[in-house]
Amino acid sequence: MTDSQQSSELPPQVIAELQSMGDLQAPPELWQGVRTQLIIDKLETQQAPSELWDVVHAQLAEEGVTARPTKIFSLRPVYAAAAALLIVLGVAFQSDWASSNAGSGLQLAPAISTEIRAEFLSRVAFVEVQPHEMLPASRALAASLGGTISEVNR
Amino acid sequence: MTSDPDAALVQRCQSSEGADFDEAYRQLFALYQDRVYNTCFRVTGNANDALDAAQETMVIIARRIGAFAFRSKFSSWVYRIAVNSAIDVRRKRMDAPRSGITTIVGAVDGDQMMQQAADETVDAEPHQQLVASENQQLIQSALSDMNLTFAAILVLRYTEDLSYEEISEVQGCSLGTVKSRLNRAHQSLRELLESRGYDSTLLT
Repeated sequence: MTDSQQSSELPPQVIAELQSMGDLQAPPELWQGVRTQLIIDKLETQQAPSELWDVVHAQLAEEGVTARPTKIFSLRPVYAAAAALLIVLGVAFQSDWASSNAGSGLQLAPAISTEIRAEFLSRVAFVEVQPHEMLPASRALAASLGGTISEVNR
Repeated sequence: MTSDPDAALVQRCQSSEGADFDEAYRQLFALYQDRVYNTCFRVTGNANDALDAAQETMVIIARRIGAFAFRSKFSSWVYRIAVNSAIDVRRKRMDAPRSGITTIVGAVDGDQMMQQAADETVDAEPHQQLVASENQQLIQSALSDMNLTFAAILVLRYTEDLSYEEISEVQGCSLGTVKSRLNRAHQSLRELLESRGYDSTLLT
């Protein structure tokens, strides 16, 4: 299909009208607007001279103003550190518990019956965990909570 | 080596800076300003939006010409930016809340808008004679009201006299898609013209 065949789908009179609508001239404001925008672009990319800091610094020193570090956290650093430590210990303890369960083959499914749960609690006084199954962090946490760790020779 | 007729001027812009760039770009601007403005005017349907879209187009060209790699004709690249800018401006106008000045513009029908645009253009440039026949006004109002892609393809094909290959570069689609879109644009234009009282004997 040629271009002329395709365009023949519009009446010749309409095509002629469309073709005659291509003679507009750009107003002079167009160049003024573009030029202004390009000048603004150049202004925006200007960098501060390296001497600026020296001047500002000298001025501040002369006035006795000293820079203070910006406070990033509103909490005291010790609180933030304590919170972070708790999170780390919690994650370590949980992962250790999960891995020891997987290793021993002991599966603690959610209690589906209060009777089964009561039965389990009446028979099990404690769960023995081998030291080598514990992560150092878990051992430290257990010790800090008053737990004792003893090696049992079998 | 590219066969693009604008290659030398474009490469001058790409390899220069400062006053040399300004001079090369000024030549490029002079070469394209009317084509860009005309395209923007026909797609947006009024002088103010056309000026905004044309300005956006020419600024984008200046900013990005350094990265132009001649994967298409330079003129196709320019038309693509112009059409996209015009469509953006027209969409913003359609999405704008109808208040203040927008209400006034939005309240007039297509013919009034065309006449208003013509008056504005004539006022802005006394030596420029915008002689819009009644049929041209009807066609412009139809372009202003039809699907943006269809309006753009009609302008590119007939008003700007681009080939199918150039239109496919501008719109970033295949030749088959160009032909399909053009067919649907013809149909849309016919229907709009018929509904607006265009001389039906001229449409047969």
